[in-house]
Amino acid sequence: MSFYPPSLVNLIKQLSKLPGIGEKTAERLALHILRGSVKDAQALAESISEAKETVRLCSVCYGLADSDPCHICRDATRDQDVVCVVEQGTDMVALEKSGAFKGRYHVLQGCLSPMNGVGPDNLRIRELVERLKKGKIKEVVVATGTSVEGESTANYLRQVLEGSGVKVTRIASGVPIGGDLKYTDALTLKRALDSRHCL
Amino acid sequence: MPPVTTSAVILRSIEYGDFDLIVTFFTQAQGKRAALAKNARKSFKRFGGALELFSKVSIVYAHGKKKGGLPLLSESNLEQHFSNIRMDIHKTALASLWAETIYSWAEEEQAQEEIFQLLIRSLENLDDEKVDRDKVNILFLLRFLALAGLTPSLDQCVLCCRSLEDWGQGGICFDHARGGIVCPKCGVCLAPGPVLSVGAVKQLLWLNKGDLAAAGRMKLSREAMDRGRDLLESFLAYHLGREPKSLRFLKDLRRRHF
Repeated sequence: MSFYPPSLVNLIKQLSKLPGIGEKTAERLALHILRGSVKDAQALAESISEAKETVRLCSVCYGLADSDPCHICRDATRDQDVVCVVEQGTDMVALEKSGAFKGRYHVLQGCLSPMNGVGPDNLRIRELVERLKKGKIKEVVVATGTSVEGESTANYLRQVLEGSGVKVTRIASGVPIGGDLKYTDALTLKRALDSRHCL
Repeated sequence: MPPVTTSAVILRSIEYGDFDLIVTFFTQAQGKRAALAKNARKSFKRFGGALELFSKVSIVYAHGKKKGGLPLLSESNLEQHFSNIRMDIHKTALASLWAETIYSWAEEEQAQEEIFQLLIRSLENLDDEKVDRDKVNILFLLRFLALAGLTPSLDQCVLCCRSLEDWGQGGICFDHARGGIVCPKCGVCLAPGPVLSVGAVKQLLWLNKGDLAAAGRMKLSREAMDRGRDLLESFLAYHLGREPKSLRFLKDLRRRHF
């Protein structure tokens, strides 16, 4: 490291702070940036600082957005009656990529986790209840994960939203596309059989 | 080290890098053990749903070539999934409290067969929708404290040994530091815990005498259940040296009447 000029050492240090990047990878990335054009390096630096300055949480859905409300919350062509509740912004992106959902979202910013001390007040549950009180939403689709924490968060939401007059549904879980039944665990198979449908 | 095959309950799981998990098990053969589950987050085929919290699994693990590193988990097969626990946030919080307690208490590589069996039985009972979850919790705490060598003294004063039968009615002070109840004549508690009625203490003693089937038949007052539970939970926290995060979560749920 000491063979490199201080500015390059600093770049390597900054890059190695990123998750999953060790010193060697950081060194390779830094040298790659140096080998590239000044324009590319400036574009990278500007995009980092622009994202940092402009990306905020949407005040309606709490997803990542560079405008408030975000483009999904502003989109008048989307179904305003249905809200899909997800744990993280990345889950929202996965659903958007699927193209299967045309409603709005609500990002909880996590899920309940007793052992990690994450309680209802640490999530955007109160904001969801407030959103429902405005009366436009008719269905809440709970799309939290299928881990123990995700399932119990879904159950907690069902109890909280009980009596709100809004239909609360849960995404199905079962055998994945291309999945092999013999490698599928007992609980997943049980769920898949419970939610079977007519062909 | 040859590969170890054993039954285990999953106590904790944390993400490691982009694709892996570090899973802590309470194993039948070697007590608490952490193992690296490579690619567990990347591939569903690798372990499927067999690394979920509180599940009873059959696992195979072995040390890799590196000395002193975590053992590598090569196989995990689901034996019991306790699906009703995950469908109820209160039950999830109770199972979390037990898992966190064992995680904090147990030593690595020290087999503790009785605590392992207690955890399995308690999870089975908690999963049973007909069983009162609060009674299961009280029984778990009573049995765990006994197995850990911390049985609270509830039948006589820890100072003068006067039997509870001779105390008459009134509030009883539980002394955390001395590990039992202190009679009104002996005076002040060093580390005071919750104040209980004589009736509540007696009902807790009856509950401790039988198994869960007997406890299920027993009619306990709400006051006795709540006070008994508070006593055992605070006594546990006192001995762990901190209040478990799951216990804080559980108290918050109770405050919200869940």
